[in-house]
Amino acid sequence: MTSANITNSSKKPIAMLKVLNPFHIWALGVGIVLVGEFMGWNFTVGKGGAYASLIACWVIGLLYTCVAMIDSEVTSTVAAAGGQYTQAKHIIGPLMAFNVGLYLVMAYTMLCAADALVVGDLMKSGATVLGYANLDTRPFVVLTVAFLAWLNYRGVFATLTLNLVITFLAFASIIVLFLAVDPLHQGVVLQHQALLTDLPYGWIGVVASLQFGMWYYLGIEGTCQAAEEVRSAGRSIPLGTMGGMMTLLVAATITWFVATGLMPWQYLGQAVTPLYDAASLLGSSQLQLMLFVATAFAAIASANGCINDASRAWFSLGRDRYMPVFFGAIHPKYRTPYRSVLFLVPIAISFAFTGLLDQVITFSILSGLLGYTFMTFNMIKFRKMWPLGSIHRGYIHPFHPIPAITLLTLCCATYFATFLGYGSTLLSIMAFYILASIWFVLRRYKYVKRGDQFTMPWPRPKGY
Amino acid sequence: MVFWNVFEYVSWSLSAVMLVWMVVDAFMISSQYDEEYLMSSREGGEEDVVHGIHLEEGNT
Repeated sequence: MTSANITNSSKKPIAMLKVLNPFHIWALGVGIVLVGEFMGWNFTVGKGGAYASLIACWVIGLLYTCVAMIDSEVTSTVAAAGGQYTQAKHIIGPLMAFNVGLYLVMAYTMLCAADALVVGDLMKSGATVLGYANLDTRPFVVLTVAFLAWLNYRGVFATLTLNLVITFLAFASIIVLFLAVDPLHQGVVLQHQALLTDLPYGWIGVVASLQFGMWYYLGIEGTCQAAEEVRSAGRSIPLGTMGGMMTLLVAATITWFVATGLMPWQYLGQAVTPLYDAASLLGSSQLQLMLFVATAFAAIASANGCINDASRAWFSLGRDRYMPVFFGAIHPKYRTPYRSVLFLVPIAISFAFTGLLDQVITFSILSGLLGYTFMTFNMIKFRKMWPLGSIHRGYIHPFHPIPAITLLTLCCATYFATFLGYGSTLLSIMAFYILASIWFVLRRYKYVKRGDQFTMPWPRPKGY
Repeated sequence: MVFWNVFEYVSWSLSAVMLVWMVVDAFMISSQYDEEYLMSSREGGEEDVVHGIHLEEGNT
């Protein structure tokens, strides 16, 4: 550092800009998730048939509703970047916080890689339709990550405003497709009577489908990563998160309704782009083009939100010295965690270049699931340590502790479903996080300044 | 197909430009600003923070 460096002469700490509103929060949450309606959700159909997919849609919808309610309450008090990591730090302890931070970074970075792969594959599909089958997908994968990282680097407002526009257009395309199939007149376009069958693999198929049911909603919990950048966290986070959850429940149900009324479960269960296929079956080139563009928009919005969330989680880990403090820097002009954004770019591209979409997504889903499991214990302890009335809450979720117990029960069912399909992956991911925990305890925790990480003006918890 | 090859090269080039821009900017910021200032943010440390107001001290 030279004497010419600009220093903090006013002693006022640098901070991220508080410029977001509830619509940005909605765009962040729904933007990350909506790609799951365009592809991926339909593997539930392959696991257990069309009705199993609908059960998974609503049961996992209940799981995520619990997640959204719990997140909304805790984040309306812990208005800091890092989301569930910050919650864990304040409520459970450093080892849980480190693990949750790692779940978040891994889940979002891998999901970003998977989204970029989807954009590359869509470009190749488009080129093939136009007569060129040998398009290299890699430049488009890199361009997707590079452009979105550049946008994230330069400011959160433009980043999430873009997400708002393209997520809304992608959601609108699902509504247009729904209207195009004449939903009020069965048998004209939709053929549910002929296509819907009994459960082909019985109730075990329903359980197995729960794992892929997470595609309908995976990532909605990412809204709380923006807590430090919204104008009023206590109002915006609950509004954006719960509004997003309602949007996704509608989108997921419509998606299931349209796709299962047009395609037999045997085909739908292994389709790559089921909504695009549905548009193709209607014979309208305009609808096909619309769904193609909407799929690309959904994948880009998801990657964009993932870069935003992964960088905030990594930044928070750095700020508290759980990771090198170098990553806890904020750009003095753009007010973004620019070093964290930059650091995660080569990691996302590396994951994407493996081309292992299935494995990348499974790792992402399981990291998310571990995070949801933590939330149940977090919520119970939060209400015990800071009972209602002891701290200002922007939102109080009803029927406590029923949502937390429901969430834990559904998480256990989903672990079992994952074990049925990806047992070895589940065990290897558990081993990875156990090794990371050992590394943190033995090698990293000594660098954490215990007092510095708790700067929130909270009251002393009950019993302490 | 020349068009598609050009399209690929343009994508590689745009990616390189944006990545290099970010790296150069990050280095420039590090050279212009004090590290202590860049890393001075604290959760809940902003003046206009609206959370964490606790009732024990009579705030609502």
